[in-house]
Amino acid sequence: MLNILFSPQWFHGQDILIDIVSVIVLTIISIMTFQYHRYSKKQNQHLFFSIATALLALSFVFKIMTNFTLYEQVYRTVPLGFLTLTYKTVHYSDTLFLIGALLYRLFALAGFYLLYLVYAEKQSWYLHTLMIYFMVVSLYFTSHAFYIFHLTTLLLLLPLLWRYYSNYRRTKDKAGKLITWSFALIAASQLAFIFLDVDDFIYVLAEGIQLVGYCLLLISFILVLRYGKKKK
Amino acid sequence: MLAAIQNKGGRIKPTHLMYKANLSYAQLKSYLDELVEKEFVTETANDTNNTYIIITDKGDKFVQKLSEMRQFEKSFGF
Repeated sequence: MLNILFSPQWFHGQDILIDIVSVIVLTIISIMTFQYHRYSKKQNQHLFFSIATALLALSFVFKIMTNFTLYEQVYRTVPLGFLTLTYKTVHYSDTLFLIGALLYRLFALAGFYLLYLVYAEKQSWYLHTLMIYFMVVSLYFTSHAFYIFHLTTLLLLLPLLWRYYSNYRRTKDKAGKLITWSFALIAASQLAFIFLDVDDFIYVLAEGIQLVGYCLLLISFILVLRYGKKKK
Repeated sequence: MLAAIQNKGGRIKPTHLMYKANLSYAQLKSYLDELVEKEFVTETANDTNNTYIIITDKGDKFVQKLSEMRQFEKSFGF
């Protein structure tokens, strides 16, 4: 049986707002990079980047939907002798949660893998197939052990983080520095998510780190646009 | 070529553009035809019959987007 709810009661719904912020940031980046692809159709990197961020945004949409089903508040009535007691409670919907969680993880893994492919050197079809196989395997095991998903995501994020750090060291670009920090925080949030069942607070911490990470990503993207405009 | 026109305030003489963009006359003519066809620039003549190449809003936006894209590629390490 899955451990469905990691969030402390006072945090119910707050994580949905955090995920909405992530969706907005990722959607903006996806739309903008798709526009860049239209300007340089020869480079598929922009297109892959745009699709990857769109997949990540979609994964958060499924996560939000999953949380909505989790936090659905219902009124229940219980007969108590000659009295009828009506009370408000949080209703958990297992089936919807399972489908939503699976789609969230599927799109998140696909998104991060595509993002990794944007920077990866050309690989053989066999390596691609092997990677997809391992992702499917991790998806299967994640229904029994949630941390497998966060560990896989972290492993996909680490080479990206190294790439952004190396790029910053080479270019000394301010926006590049923020991008490195934002991906470091997103990776740190995945690390925190691995230890969810240790304490309720870890969930709050992980969501908080994720929020800061995506906000930094938005700020760095705004900086990219500003620096781009200055170079007239 | 578009960046060269933009740097000159959006208006330039063909000969100046030729030097600025380091192009031969034949190359300039060929590229200019393409830019006019894509509505990125227009050619106009003033009272003294001097021809000027003027960048359009579409051309301006194109250069802008291209500049943003280059900054994006630099920051994201493409």
